Amino acid sequence: MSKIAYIIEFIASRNPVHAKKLRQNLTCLGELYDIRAEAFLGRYELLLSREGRDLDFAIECYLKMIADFTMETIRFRKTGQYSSRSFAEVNARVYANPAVMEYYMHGLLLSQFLFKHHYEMFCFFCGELGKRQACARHYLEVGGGHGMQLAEAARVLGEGTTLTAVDISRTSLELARQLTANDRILFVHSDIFKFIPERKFDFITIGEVIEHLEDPAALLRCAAGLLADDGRLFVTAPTNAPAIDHIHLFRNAGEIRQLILGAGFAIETEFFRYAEDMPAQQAEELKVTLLYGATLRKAAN
Amino acid sequence: MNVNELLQPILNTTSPLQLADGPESIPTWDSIAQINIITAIEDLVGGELSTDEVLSLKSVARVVEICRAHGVELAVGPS
Repeated sequence: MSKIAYIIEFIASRNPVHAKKLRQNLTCLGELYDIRAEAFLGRYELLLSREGRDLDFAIECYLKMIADFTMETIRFRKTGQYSSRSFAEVNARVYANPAVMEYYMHGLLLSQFLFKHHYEMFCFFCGELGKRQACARHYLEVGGGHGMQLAEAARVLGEGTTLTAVDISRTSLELARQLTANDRILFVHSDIFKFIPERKFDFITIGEVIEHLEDPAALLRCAAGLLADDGRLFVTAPTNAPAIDHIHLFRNAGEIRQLILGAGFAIETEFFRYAEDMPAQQAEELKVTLLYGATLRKAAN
Repeated sequence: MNVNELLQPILNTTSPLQLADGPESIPTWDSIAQINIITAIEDLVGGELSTDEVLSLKSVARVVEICRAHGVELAVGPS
């Protein structure tokens, strides 16, 4: 039995509705998905075993995260708002709570291969990074989270490239450090708004971070200041995605585009996927989560 | 109210539901339907379900039990 098949069987015993969705979503992703997922899960199991844990622990974390999502979705359906309104509230509830952060980070890590839209966005990221492989000398990831994209950057970008990850959460940084296991990466525990680098960066990744902020535009403007003039910013954000740590509600992709353009960027390429397999009109009506991603360059003055 | 009246429109079926029915036996009982079932129960009982109740909702029988725990008796059988 493959590791993915084992995970889905485990989930089916606890959350049959979610397992049903996973079975439907993951059967059509192709051979490359199977290869990537098994390779990643093999590395992840090694990481877990070094901590005296196993895949079952990670699946339990994932199930807790799904339970959180479900409860938040029910409230979102009724109120039309996310449950957290301020960074201070989320900080107390999540970021400064190591137990919550731990299951949330492990849950998110598994979601990269269990959520179809997460995996497809990861593929988009790989393609966009690949286009800049030759010219990305200095790579920065803001809010590196679980480290999946960081690991890909370390794999793809040449030995001469510097790699920096800045995160406000020590738990995230530690998980990313262990997952990437790469001495080339500099991990910086800092608020990005207080981060003062020695140089500008050629490629900056901000993956599913701006929805965690009270003022997402401020982060994009901050990133513009850190980005080389001919550099690229890769940014992703979800719409209608109730979660315990989401603050800023984007109601549609247009609101994200508007934010991007207002922060002084031009959109070079973009990609989006709904979290449920259904026609776009139905997904809009039901306020189904849409994951939006784009590669940006500084707009001409 | 009969449990069929509550669940059949959400699950888009006219077949009478059995207590043992759940996501495995009803093709339309998916993640969207699950949220719709929970919100329909909350509307019916006039209160919010706990996380444990939400997570345990895996069958028609459990829908009936949860409603009963909130003081609403659902009839079972053809409506």
